[in-house]
Amino acid sequence: MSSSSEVPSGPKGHSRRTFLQNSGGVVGALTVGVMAPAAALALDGTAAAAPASAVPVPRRSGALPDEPVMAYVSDSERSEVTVLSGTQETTFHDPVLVQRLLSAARSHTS
Amino acid sequence: MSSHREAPEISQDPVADNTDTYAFVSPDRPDTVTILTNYIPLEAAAAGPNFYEFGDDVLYYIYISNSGTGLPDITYEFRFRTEVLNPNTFLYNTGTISSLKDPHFNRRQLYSVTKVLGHPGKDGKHKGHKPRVLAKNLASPPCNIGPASTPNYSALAQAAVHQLPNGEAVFAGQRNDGFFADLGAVFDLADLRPFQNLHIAPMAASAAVDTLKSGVNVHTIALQIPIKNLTRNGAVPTDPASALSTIGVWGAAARRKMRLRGDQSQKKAESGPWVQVSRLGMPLFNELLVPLGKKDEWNRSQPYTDKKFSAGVLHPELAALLPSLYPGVFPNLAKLDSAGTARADLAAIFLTGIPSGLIPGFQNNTGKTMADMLRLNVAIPPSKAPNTLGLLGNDLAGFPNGRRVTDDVVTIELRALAGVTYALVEKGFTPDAPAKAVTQGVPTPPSGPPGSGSRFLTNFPYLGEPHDGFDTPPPE
Repeated sequence: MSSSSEVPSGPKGHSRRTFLQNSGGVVGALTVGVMAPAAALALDGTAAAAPASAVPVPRRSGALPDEPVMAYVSDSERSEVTVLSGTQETTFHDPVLVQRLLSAARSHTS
Repeated sequence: MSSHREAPEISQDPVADNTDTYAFVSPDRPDTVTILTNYIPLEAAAAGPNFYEFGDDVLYYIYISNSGTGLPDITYEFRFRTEVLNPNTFLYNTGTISSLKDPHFNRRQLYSVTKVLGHPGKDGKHKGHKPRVLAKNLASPPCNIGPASTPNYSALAQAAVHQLPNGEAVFAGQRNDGFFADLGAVFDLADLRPFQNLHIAPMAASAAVDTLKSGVNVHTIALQIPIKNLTRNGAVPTDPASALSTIGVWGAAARRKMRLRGDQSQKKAESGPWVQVSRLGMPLFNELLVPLGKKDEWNRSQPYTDKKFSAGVLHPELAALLPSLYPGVFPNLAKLDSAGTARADLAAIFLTGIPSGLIPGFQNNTGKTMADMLRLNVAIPPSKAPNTLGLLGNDLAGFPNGRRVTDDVVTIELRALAGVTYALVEKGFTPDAPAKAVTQGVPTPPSGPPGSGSRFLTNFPYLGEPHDGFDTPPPE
């Protein structure tokens, strides 16, 4: 299993650090439209065609449903995060995002 | 109870709790099938000021399978929306409600009906079948509050019967709960009052008690559908022996997968796919035949996967208990149980339908797929002299050929479990004499026209008008 420190940098000068600086949060990381260096992999294959090292963060296209986008860490051991939007549900493999969320969760117990 | 509070999780979620499902060829419109699905168990009639209503956050389904797969081929979906005309009062109604558009009808529900054709895929999504919205903003009637608020309830309820474009009629609202049973006796170690002198904890035999007789309401989604809209080939079958004649029916309810509870900074919110939380085809299936540790899983699963629950049908716990609870009364059933005999009769009744050759002139088999569905052979016309024991009473139009509101499903299933129906599949088996006589002891309530106060109606939606809160319980 990859840890976030093992995730390679993305192309076009977008390092993990700049990605993290550019992404404002959980939802932002999914919608800001930068190149994501993280290994974001849809387990159902719907968004998993690109190599893990060069998976682009999808640009916003079409309207989002008129309700919150929700996400949860469905399996921290496997670095899986599940995103729910409208009536859709997709589980991604995203070690960086999962580590950030787990860090945030740990801050609640410290 | 048929399926009132039958599983741990759904017992905490009444508005999504499917309590009973009925399906029968309409006796007054024999070119149609009526399907009823009930929700919200054990409504007290006077439970205001927030009277019972359907869940705006629940997706209700009526499923019909006509392909022998156990998968839905026709789906009707129901979504509700609640309107409050005046939020600055605590009152459900601000005066007498004289029509469904009366401004005194302050908190009201409207609903949509959507029809979907075809199977869903393994991901639960329909492919290539665009849902068709049949109607929007259909009005539900108010709850029956009392003579000052809802003095002409029959008219309100009748106005809430709506016609849909393809010949269907639909109703969604409060009704009298038609399930009749002596629940106190059933759940007290099956201590059936007429036979409790024979019970392991004997007392003098006594008359049974109809637990739901005294003022219990329910919420019903009712559809009356032309038979030609339900069959695989679009025809009205006339040959009961034809495989095209049998349809499977069940109801279900779903909720969104994730819910964010509101707090001071944020309203409640929901997201994600619809997740099934309740289903019901045959009465008492999940209640009687599925062990406690699997009941929630059963509610989440689809009928075509019911093979994994078949052990509870082939070797039912209650059938094994009856000889112990009634010592010496069921010796032949005891031998059957102790031999570990698989109950092929119950598998046919509950999981596959009854094949041809067991009951003259009858079958409602849907193939090898084990699936809990209410199977209805629509080629069998309504009975002119219905017998509440259905097939056991030689009435081919009754349960378990579908289920009519007046069928005594508790007694029928008790007799089946006690071994009466095993003789259909094993001619050498002799049912114990008491098995043929066992009864829950609750007589079938009468039927009557709207306004008669009868438990059942003689026309759509067949379940009687709800008890009103002012008169229930009656003044002493």
